[in-house]
Amino acid sequence: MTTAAQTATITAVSKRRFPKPGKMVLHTVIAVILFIWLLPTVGMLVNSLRPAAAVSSTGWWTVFSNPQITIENYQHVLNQNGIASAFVNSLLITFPSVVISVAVAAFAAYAFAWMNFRGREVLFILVVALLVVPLQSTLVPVLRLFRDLGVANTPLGPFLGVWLAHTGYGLPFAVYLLRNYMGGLPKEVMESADIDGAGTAVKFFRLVVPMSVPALASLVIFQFLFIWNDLLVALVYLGAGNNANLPLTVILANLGTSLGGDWQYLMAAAFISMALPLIVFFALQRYFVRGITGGAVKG
Amino acid sequence: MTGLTNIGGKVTVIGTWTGSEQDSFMCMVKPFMDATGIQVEYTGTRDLTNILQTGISAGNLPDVAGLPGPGVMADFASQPGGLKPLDTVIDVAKYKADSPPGYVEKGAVSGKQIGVIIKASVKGLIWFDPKVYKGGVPTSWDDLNTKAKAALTSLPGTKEWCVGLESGAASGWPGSDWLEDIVLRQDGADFYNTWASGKAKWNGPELQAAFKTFGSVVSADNVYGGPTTVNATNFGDGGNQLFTTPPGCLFHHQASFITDFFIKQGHAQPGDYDFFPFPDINTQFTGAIEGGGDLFGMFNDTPQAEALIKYLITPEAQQIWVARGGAISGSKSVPTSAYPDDFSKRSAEALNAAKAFVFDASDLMPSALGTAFLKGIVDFTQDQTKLDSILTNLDTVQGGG
Amino acid sequence: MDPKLIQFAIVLVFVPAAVIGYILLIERVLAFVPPKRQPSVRPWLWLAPAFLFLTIFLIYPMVQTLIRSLSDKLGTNFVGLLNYQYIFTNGDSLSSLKNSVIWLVLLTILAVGSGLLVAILFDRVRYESLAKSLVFMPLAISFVGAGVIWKFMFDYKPAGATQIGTLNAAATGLGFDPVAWLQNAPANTIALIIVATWIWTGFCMVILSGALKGISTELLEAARVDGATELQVFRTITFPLLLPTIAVVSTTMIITALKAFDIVYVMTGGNFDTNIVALRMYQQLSTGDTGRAAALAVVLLALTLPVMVYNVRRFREQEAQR
Repeated sequence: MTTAAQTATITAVSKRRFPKPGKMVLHTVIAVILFIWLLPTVGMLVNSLRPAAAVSSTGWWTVFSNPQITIENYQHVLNQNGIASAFVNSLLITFPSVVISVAVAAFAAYAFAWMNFRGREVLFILVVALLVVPLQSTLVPVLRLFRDLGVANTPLGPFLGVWLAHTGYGLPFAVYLLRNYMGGLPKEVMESADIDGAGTAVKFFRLVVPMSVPALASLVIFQFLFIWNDLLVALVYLGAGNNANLPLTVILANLGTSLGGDWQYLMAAAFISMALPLIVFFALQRYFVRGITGGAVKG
Repeated sequence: MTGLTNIGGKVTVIGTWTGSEQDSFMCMVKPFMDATGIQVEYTGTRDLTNILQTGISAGNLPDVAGLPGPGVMADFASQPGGLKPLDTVIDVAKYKADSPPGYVEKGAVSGKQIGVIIKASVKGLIWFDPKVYKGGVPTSWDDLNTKAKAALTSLPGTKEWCVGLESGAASGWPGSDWLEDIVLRQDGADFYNTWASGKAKWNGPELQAAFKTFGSVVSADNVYGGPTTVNATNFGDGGNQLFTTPPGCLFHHQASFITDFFIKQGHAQPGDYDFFPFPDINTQFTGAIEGGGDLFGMFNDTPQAEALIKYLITPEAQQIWVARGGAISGSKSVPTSAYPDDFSKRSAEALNAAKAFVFDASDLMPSALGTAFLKGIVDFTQDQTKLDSILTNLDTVQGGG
Repeated sequence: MDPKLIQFAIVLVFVPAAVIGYILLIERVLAFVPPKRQPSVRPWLWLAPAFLFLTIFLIYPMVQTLIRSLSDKLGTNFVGLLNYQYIFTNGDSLSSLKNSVIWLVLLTILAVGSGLLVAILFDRVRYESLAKSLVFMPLAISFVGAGVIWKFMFDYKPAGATQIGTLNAAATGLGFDPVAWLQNAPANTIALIIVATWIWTGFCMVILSGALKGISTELLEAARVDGATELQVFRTITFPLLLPTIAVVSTTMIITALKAFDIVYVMTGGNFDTNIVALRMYQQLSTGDTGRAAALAVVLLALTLPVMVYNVRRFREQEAQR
């Protein structure tokens, strides 16, 4: 594995690659892309800071000529009853679901990539095919099963069902992504570990996991995001009337009245709920640095 | 409070009300919780139909639930493990005596009382800016158009109507309200109820005529911005053009809740708007009124759930939401003085004086037909020449195809 | 302290310990198995948790769906292939199938293409992390939020009125008539696919960028020292090495295009000829038409079969090469 210092020099070298005029073109192209990508979001950010009447009568860009700024929308969202405990609930739902699904997927992906057994291909096709199963069509059979098994009455309480559900629904993608990455790990490294007599568990935790960090990091980001933003699975598996345990998304989705409108609150809420996933994304950025896998993908 | 005993425990409730509606509902049940010691656990969600449908199939349901409409209520009542009858829970005869004719029956399925209406709204109100339109209350649909023509001579560029049909996945519903009002005034309450229960032919003379009347409203000549704008405008912004200078239109057809949007999104002040009821088209059918209502039903017959249902239809409970605004009560015992403003007071008087109360037809229809109806409205508005194929398709859906 | 926070702290320790503990436990158990038999037992123990979850949450319901697709509306009578016949003869169903195919092709090309482009471009600048998070941001916004954002992008007011939608303000500012982006088929489907591309490019970017970082720097440097241009380096080294990952991302996007209906649901409700198979299925589920909904789910599954076959071939190649 490369040391940090080596990584730094390599990165520096490769980032100096482009000659000066080329670099200008590069920066310009990136600026244009970022402008296009940001425009919709900036529009919403500005609108989330404007009063409702202004939002529905003039465009967000008029804020530059006629600044009407208010933080009232954000105050309204943050003053919702039970928003703090809903935030904790979201964490309680998201964290274990991410850990369980990523770990279980990593075990399976490792078996698919580096163990030989009968029926391996058929089983793998099955996993990938399950990617397309629509969530909505699974709810009734599973809920019936849960009711018969009494999942809600276990000591881990109402959250258990939600963790299991998120894990189940996230697995096909997780196994697929990790199996692809792990399958590309260099055979020589794996074989040298065998010669050293390392056990399978040791090989997995000491070798495969560290080398798969970029794939694991992206998987964690996505799982976190999908579960954090989920509304339906939480509502269905926690069950009605379980208000004390509902996640943030339920409170935020219920800001307006059932008649619609109240865009300004929904916009403010979208920014508030987006904050944590973005922090997770930033925090995991350091695992996307060149060289961390030591050239894991065979070249 | 009378008739409430302290029994404790809790009741789980799920409904579509969110935001300020949820606050009003919680205010409504506060005295109930205080007097009985029963905890009311309410969850609001817009995914209501799906959650309940899933819950019935899986046997995992709240005690009490809001229901999207009588059509869905009948679906839920017919399924095993579905809604429980309320005949022994409430005094149906007393409830009927206190409500307008036909009102309580909207919660009944083949003779059994399944749902109760928690709050009502009156549809078919035509809104205008009294500073712009000074023609007075029209006596008939033709009179309305004559008066509009007269008013428009001094207002070049202004159109007779403003319509906004966009509402995400439920787009088209303001147009279905339009059509229902037309059918009710043109063909009467009896035909209306036949139609709403899925027994009238869509591609027949009545519906063809009703669609054509609606078609003239949303035609490029008579509607602000033309049909494209109608389909692209959110229903909440639909009436905003009443208040611009110069005005985009004279009239806007919408239920009583729209005043909230006038103020919040349309830059209107109280006093800038007023309404008259939808005029008669055929005078032999005068006096019928169309309304909507939020139904509640019971899935688990616990003592707590029964106590809650009983409490919610009492005039005392009804009055709480009424006073907070945004609701009309069907109970004749709620005094009109309880209403916070003149509009809701007049709406309530109209409801209580009605000779016949008909319910929003798109909510009465089985949900597949109701959904197809809304889509038909949107398609018709976009291209009126497709009327024949739209109505034929609705007949197919109605027949179970 | 909030009891919830204590619960959270316990979960924080207990859940990871439990999953790691599982592997240590099975390896301990395997030690009692004769070494010759170990390789045939081990894979099943490593796969067991995943298949337990998959069976409960996806396989079992899918089997039920398959049975349901052969029954009538209430699931009581066997109707044979009637629901499938309906899908392939009803005009609305056929139009949603057609739109789903457009989604599948265009979203995959656009999202994977732009994801690859930004991954490669951002890799070359110092502010990579910031640039990536800006492209990633749409994915972090909930669908409700994304719906509101694009409502204000596509908003339409008649010519002459004040436009509050970004795109129509630009159009009228340049002297054109305002456009009803979401109403005119087939352009409206393209508009919706652009929204999906805006959301999913960040997804493709993250995975492709991860793979890009895995390519040996020495290899690239060596090629550059040999005088290869950046384009040649990309064509002969980077692209072939990224190909397996591009295949993974494309597969995921194809399935996303078939499955995701939120955007269409929120923006047009499937009106104006924008309906897609997944949304139609959702609508039929919510109107209680379970037989037809189930049949559509099966059709979705069938549509992905070629992709599955391709994936298996690819994995065989990967294993043959290493």
